[in-house]
Amino acid sequence: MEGKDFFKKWNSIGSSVIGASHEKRGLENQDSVSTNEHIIAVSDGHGGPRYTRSALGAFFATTIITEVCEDAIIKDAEDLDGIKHLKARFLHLWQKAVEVHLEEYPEIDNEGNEPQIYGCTFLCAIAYPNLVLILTHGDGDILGVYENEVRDLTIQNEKNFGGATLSLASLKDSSEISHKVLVGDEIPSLIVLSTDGVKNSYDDTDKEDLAQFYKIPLAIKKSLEEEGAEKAEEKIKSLLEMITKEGSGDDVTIAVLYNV
Amino acid sequence: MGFDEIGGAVSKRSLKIYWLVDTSHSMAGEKIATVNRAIKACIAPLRDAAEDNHEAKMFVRTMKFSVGAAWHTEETEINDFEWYDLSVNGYTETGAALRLMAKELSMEKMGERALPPVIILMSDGEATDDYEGGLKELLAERWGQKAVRIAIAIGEDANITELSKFCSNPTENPPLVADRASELIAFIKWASVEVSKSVSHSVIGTSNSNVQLPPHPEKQVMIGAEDDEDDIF
Repeated sequence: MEGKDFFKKWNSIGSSVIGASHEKRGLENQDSVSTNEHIIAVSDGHGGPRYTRSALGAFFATTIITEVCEDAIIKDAEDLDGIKHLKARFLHLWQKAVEVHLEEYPEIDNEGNEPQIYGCTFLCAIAYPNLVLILTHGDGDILGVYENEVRDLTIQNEKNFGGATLSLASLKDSSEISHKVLVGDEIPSLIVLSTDGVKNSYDDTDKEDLAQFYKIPLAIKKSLEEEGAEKAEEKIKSLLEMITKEGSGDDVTIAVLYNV
Repeated sequence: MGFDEIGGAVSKRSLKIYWLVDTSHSMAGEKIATVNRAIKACIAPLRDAAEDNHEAKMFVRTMKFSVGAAWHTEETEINDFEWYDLSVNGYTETGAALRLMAKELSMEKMGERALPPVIILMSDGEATDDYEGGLKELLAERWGQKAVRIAIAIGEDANITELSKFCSNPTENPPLVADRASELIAFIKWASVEVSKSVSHSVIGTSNSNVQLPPHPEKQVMIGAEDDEDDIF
């Protein structure tokens, strides 16, 4: 399938729920989600006392990456210039948004490292006619459904471990944004992006507990097929509310790109 | 597979605090008595901190080291934790303690989602065994590297150079040197209670440490030190 007809095949849903612990402390949801037909993005603001504007940084990230991807077409897996340009434009616009906001609302109590207060991660998946492009910087998970099998498509990075994560706020070179291009049989029928609060709610020292996390995409697929997008989105929200309450307590977000 | 079948497995992350206590002969008397008193005094504020922490379950465990190293208490959720006083004997086999700690921090036992563990090493002397080898084993574990490693030197005979090598960020958080009982109690409380409140927040991976520690307690303690009439170690 080619061109506009192809894009019609793809749809997206998503939901973001404030962390149970954040709600109790009167904080805002520092995650952000954007779903726009063939483009999905999630971002996780770092939170905590050092990153006072991370919710805004996360909002900038999901909004800007969606706009940039809408304007860009990646022709094929070899289109490295196209991917490079997309990454560079995204980082430039995110940094510009932070700069403009800081000019308008200067931060007084800082240590001279203002952009860090907007620190956040991001994950994005875009369906193009011949491929799916995944872009990430920082922690969070990416799962793909292939018929009834779930594969972990997360791009691992040693720096996203032990309470630390990569951050857009400390990114100097856009080439450090990770990407993965899926073509042919590698393209899943459904992709789930989730912020780290979701997986952190499942005990990974217990295989059975962790297996539940990997079943989430299958539950979403089933709901989409049997009940439709609206109901599936409601169920994702309910699941996230339960996860943050019983699990990580963190803000939790899921975005889904599908052609089921 | 539907939504009804997901969710039962959801649980909070673990926040683990380890006290590694030198129980060699030189710790006899006021030193070990103060450690016993201080850890006991940490239980109530740690329970309060756990109550306020909606993101994690807090566990504590104590190791003693003298001739070899052994766990003094099992890993216990703070609400169920009871303290049993430590007694002293023998040498200072800190290397053995670090080896035993390394086994506890394996990926198999810790998983990837845990919060950075807090390890508080307390000693009044210097290792009588292979300290460097033990430290190497500890730091070979991913969680050994990412743990918040705090050292408390008890008295002037403690080997600061050795303890500095243990600290996760010796430039910003060098060993805390306790010359008197009141300082030792304050340091153990800070390292246990205040630090435990800091480990739930993500930080940018390129910074010096993966946990932003609360202000170092040394100056706060020193302000009132001249008025203290407690024993000098």
